[in-house]
Amino acid sequence: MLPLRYTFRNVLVRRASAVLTMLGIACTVAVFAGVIALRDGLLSVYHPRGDEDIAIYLRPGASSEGESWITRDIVDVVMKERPEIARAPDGRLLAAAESFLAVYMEQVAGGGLTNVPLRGIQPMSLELLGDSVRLVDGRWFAFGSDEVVIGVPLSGRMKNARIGDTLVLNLTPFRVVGIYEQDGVLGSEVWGDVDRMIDALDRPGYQRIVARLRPGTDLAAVQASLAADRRATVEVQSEREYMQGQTNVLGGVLQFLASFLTVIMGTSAVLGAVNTMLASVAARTHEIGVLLALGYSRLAIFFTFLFESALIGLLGGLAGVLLTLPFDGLGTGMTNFNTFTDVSFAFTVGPRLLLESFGLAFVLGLVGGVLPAWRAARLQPVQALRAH
Amino acid sequence: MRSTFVLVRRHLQHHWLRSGLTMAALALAMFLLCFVISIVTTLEAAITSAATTRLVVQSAVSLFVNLPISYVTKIVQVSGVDEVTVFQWFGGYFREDEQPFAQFGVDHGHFFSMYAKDLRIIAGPGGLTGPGASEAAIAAMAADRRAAVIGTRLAQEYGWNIGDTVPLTAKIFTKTDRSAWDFNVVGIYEPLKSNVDDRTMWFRFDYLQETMIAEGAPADFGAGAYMVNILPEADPSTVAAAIDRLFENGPQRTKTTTEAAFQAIFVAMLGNVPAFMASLGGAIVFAVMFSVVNTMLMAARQRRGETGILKALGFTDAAVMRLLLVESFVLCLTGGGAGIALAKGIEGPMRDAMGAALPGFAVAWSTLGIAAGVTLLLGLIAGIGPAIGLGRLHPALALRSEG
Amino acid sequence: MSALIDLVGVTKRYSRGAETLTVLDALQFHVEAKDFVALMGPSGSGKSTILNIVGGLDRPDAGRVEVAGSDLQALSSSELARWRSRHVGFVFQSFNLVPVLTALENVMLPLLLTPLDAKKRREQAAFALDVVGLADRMHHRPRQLSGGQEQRVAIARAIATDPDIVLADEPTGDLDRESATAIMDLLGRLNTELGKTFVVVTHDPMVGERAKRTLRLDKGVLREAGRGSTASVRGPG
Repeated sequence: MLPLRYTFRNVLVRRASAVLTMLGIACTVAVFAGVIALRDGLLSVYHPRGDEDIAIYLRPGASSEGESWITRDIVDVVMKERPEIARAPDGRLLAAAESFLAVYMEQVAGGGLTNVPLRGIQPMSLELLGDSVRLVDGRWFAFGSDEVVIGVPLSGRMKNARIGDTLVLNLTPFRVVGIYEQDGVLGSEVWGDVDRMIDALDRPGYQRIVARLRPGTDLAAVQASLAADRRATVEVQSEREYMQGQTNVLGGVLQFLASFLTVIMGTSAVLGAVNTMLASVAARTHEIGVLLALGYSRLAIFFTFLFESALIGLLGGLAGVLLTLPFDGLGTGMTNFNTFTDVSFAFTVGPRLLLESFGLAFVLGLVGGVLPAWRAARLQPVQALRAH
Repeated sequence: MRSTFVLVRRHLQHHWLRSGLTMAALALAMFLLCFVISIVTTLEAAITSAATTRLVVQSAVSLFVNLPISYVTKIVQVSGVDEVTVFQWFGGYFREDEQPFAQFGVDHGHFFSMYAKDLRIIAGPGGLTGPGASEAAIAAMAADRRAAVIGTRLAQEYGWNIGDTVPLTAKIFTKTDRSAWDFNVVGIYEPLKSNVDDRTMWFRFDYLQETMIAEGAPADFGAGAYMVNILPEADPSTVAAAIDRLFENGPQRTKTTTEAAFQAIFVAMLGNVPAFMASLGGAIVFAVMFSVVNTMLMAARQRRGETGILKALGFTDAAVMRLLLVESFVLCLTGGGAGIALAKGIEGPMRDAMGAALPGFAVAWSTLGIAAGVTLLLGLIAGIGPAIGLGRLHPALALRSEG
Repeated sequence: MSALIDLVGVTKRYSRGAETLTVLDALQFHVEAKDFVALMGPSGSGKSTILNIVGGLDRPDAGRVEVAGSDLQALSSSELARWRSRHVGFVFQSFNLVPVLTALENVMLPLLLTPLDAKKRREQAAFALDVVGLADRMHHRPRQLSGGQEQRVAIARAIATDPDIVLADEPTGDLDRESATAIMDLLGRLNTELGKTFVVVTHDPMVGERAKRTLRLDKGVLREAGRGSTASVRGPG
């Protein structure tokens, strides 16, 4: 219909207004992208260690480790008698019992106390983690001793978390002997020997059993069998399923926040776009009359103004994306309300989010252009030509 | 002066769509700003309105570690301590998919007198309301192990009355036979402070304790926190230190803080909320600022001819500038004012919607003041540039462009 | 024999509040092909209305309108637009050109509505600009052109699609004497050399002198004015 350069140049000619509208849209897009980047960052940290066959055993009814309690007796029953747990070639059981407690630590950068995951592990825990875990500094703690290792993000953000520091668990001091790294949510925790921790805290119970299941195990069948098992009173789920469940509260809150803010700010931005385009149409009323006289259809007029507004939207989207990109990879921490512990993650600006941001900007521009474009298309050529 | 306002009003009315759209954008932005600031002030109020004469004793290690029940008798004996109650989060639910409410196991003999300034029982057994209700309800609680007192909103939401039995499924304190926990409603309370939740259930801790011991818990089964009211003349930090010293050799080391500090921990867990909200507020204000500046630029552009005429008639540059500035202020104050009024007006429904997530959500007058200040600032920023432009406009130039 | 432009019994009324003004009163207007007609009369008398009706920009309240073989009353809005792009060229008094496009791009605008490819469009537009003598200015924007040059570009645009009819509404109204003369010369040449039919609304008597026929619109009715003739005209029906 009307040439593209007509649209581009008209935006250029009224660039002060166009830029202001673009910036309004850019702010909306930046806020949207920022909050979703937080959410995506949070979700991406909760990925399973890559192994489809890892399962988590918890007390029946517990929705997270923090709520779970498994006695030593039950741990023995599960480990010794459950057939679905795999064994290594040398016959060792590929399962570990772990404890979990949200403990207080003080943040370095102010903000006071926060809850940090304290995990008691067994040697098999590390084996099950395989390549996903690495020692970064110092050494691994010795099983049987009162030593701990701390994850990289925590070591940076918490007080008393460097090699040589001492963490007092109840009455027992534990020395920090190493810093470890894990690509996942298990990377921002404090680890030590489970039996030493249980002892120090005077909490004679485990929170979970993590195990590799035999390949080809039907998880549903295992779950049914456990429900009927009167001695092994535990429930099982795949690690993937467990991870996904751990982000639903905070993930949901961030999603809601993003939607809420986007709707309100977006409406504000659209109103600005409507104003800009209305002024543009008003200033070009005679011109529209000439175009109609030339034989251009009303539809062509409508689409040309709609396109102009959408273009402003897209440019605003570009600005918004540029505002948000620097945040990509920026580390932060929040309390995960499912586990009640601090989780470290980074803003994650992925390709899907970029696409959504542009889409949002485009829609904002489009919506803002509808009324003015419709007005332009409904002009009567005779009246329009009388303008000026 | 009056003529200024008349002219301004005519201009705004003539371009009613443009004025209306801009005012709507301002209203939305200021509403959102008030909302965002209110989240921060509500969180802070929870901390500052916490009782200064109440201490919280918990494990030094974690919120989730229970302290032995024997600690209670020892704490009571510390100098400066007035009353002590157990305070155990139960974490059960009535129906899984509905909005959960809080339940706490407490020492019924001390809890209600300790929290006399925070809540009041308004309905008791036998249909009693008014002053006698409280006594009757507490007496009923002493007589029935499974007794519970619920908040007014719980009674409203679920239609529970005195004498009803409420079954709860436990997530933390599960029984081996997985049966529900039954509680009998003996009283309904209403909060006396804005940051006290009206959707909580208070029940007898010893019911929880006995049941858990029967399930195999150790005999010294206690709670995660003990609330301690101190005597008015006692110094909180001294008493707190004394309590911690009492248990520094275990079996569980304690950390005693004021209730305010305890609340602060919860707030801090939300992350750097003030910073987050401040950046959000900034983005909101920026976004709408562009909109308003745009509008005033367009208004000035359209007024070149009229300005030429006014100046030719003898109006001074300053008068012309003032005209545009006043229009900018009127526009901003009307739109912004509407948003601010909406934020305050919707305070009640917002508080209900927030529920237990953010109890006592309130829009403070200081918040409204901040938003009003921002609105005025926007009016100035949006108007000053175009106003100066029109002020400097040479009348002959302006009149020529009218063609 | 039917004329290129045939208005029969055309009536147009405007209401302003409680008053109704009859601008055209059962008017007859016939123009043969290759004619050059000037419509004159006091301002506000409705001359532009006749032009708008002939060009399909407006519809009468009563009467028959046949132009270039089509019954305009029977066409829908969008059909009229298509018809207009093929058969009519417009030249207005002022603000003809789109300010953000160059002269060449302005002349190409109507060509975009034809099935011609880009190369042909460019050629035809360049040719039209050459005809009006502005080939050297084809890449200039309107603000870089004088009033007279703008009008010439508008004329080039009006003939770019080779329409049968060119309708001009006060084409010299904003111009000085010299430019006005040049424009009228151009219109005359286009009429005699390219055989285009012209209907020009004007209140400039000089324009009237250039026309082959002059009609005056008075009280809703057209009368032949010619050179000194005041006879009323009821053309062949």
